Amino acid sequence: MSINDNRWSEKFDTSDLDGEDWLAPEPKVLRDIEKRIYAVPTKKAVFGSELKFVFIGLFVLVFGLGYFLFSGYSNSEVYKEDSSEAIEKSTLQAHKNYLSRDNTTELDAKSTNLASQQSEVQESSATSISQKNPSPNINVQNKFDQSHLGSAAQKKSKGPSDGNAFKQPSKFFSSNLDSNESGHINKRQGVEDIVGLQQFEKSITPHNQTVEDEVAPILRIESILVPNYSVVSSQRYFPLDMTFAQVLPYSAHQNKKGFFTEVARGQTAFALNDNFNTAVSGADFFSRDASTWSASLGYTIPFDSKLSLDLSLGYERQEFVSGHNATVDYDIASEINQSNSVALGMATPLGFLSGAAVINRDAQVDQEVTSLLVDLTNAHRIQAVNVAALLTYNVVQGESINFNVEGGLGVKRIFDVNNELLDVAVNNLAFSSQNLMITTDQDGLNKTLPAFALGARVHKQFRSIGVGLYYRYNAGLTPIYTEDGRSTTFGGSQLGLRIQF
Amino acid sequence: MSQQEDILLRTKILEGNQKAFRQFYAKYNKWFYLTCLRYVSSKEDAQDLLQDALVLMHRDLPKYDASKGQLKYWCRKVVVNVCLQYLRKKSVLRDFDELGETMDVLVADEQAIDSLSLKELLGYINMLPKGYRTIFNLYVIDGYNHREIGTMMNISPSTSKTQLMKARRMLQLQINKINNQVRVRV
Repeated sequence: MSINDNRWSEKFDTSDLDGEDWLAPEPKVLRDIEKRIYAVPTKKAVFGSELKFVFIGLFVLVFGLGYFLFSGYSNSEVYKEDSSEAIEKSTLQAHKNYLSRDNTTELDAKSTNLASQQSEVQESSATSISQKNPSPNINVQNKFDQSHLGSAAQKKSKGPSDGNAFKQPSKFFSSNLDSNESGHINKRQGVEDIVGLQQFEKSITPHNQTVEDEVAPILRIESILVPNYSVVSSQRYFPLDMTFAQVLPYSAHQNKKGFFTEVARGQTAFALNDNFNTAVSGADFFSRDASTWSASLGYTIPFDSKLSLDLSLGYERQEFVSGHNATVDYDIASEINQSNSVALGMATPLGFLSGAAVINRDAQVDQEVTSLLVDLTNAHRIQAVNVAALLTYNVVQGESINFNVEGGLGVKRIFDVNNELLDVAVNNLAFSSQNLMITTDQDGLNKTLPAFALGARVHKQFRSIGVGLYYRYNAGLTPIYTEDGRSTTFGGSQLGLRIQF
Repeated sequence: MSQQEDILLRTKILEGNQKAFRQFYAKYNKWFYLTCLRYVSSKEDAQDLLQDALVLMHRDLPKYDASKGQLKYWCRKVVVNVCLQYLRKKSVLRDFDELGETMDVLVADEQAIDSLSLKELLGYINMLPKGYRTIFNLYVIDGYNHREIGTMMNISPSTSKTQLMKARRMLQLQINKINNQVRVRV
């Protein structure tokens, strides 16, 4: 170590710096330290650089939950068969069972009793029904949604309770038979009416009875009240051993036509190509992932029970920070009041922009030209509108929750790019900066960008409104910036909420 | 005496005494901050690093072994390590510029250093490119040898020596220049 080294060492070795007030850190430093050391630890914010891992974790969780909930679907075996064949088979079987067990020409007194009580329900909207059955008495306390039964009756019956009231569901049933020769029931109201009727029957039936047993009384009534009623025909449309979800092309829980709105938050990363990376890497270039926020309004067009198309129009905003260092020559000869205005050329992931700053000099520096190393930091904001078409496929369908995968294409149109020179940090304490400004924004920005998206969504239906949570990855099909062999592509993921009307 | 005071403060801090920590901070905050400013010239960055270093110090205080040196130097070592970690993250430790050969003929004016204030000296250190500055700080002020510096910065000891030599000459050039200007004016 030379003598000079010792001089340096001695100068900086003293911890007694009482006279050096310029060395006092700001009071908030101690506050922040004490907060970190002595405060009760709080949960770390998750929406930082770890966001993508959170998304992946959430995706796995949602997928796992969906699989766990719906993999053991009770009638899944029926799905494996060809649906029409299955319906025929089950219909035939049910019909045989029914005929072998019952005499269809005899009106069961208990069933009549049931019919009269049902009429009373329709008339008075009573919530309690006492029913005497072959099985023990059962008290039904509003166990079903009476609106189903009520709507069926009220729409077609305004008369007194004389037995006709009960005919109304039957009429409806038979009218469906007449109008749906192709073997499908696709009128939503009709479906709900039937559901209501079946639920009612179910609710007054002991649990140890089979499905055929449960429906038998109503079929007996049907055969009497509707002379030409064919049990076989009716069962073709409504097989006794299948649930409604299996029979009907559109249940309340499946994809349905209508508007939806989505809001999402996420991150977008910008990837520089090799040329661009080479051009900026020497200057310690950095670019943080963009924080992305979006909102959209769309319309769903279902193709069948599983597949649908979502068309949407949305707004998207991305905000991020980038920067690098640069060398600036400070020339005393050209200064005014110990200040010089310097022009700055700056690189961003979206291309190059120009800015300016005023550099102030301390009086102690009297070197003619000083080469200053400066750290430049810019903030960027992009606003865009998106038009997208996404195909959605219903992978797992439960009674109230669906799990969908989706994929599609879209076009992003950037309508605003805003840059702000946040900081020009001079690595020399004798100089400081102020009046930072951007003078020219980026050239070479591609403002219309085709993009693709892939994602997954969990959807839950609450009566007429559906709520979904989705994870979506999207990326540009063309670069967002291209100039002289340099280019930047983008890609990012979002976690969003969807409300379907 | 100072070491005994420090050991006492350490014991109290380890017992969870926040007042003792404040005393310790009041005693050394400027020195630690100065250390940070030698490695990173931005005040904001230096304050952030000071914060990180003190939190780390507090965490590792039980590991301090009094037989291996004074507490204040152990603490400064923590500060230096935090600064190096930050510089490594920003990849500035690879930033070694070549200097012109003209510097070889320079002769240092040894007395000049004594006449300069701490702030002025810090200003000269901050004028150095980051790579030179780091090696100069580690070797000249913080007392690491070239082998240790090589390990810390992932360079060979001979590179460390070369860079230090260039850093010294660059500093001497700057100081002599100012000194001569002062003499001429006088």
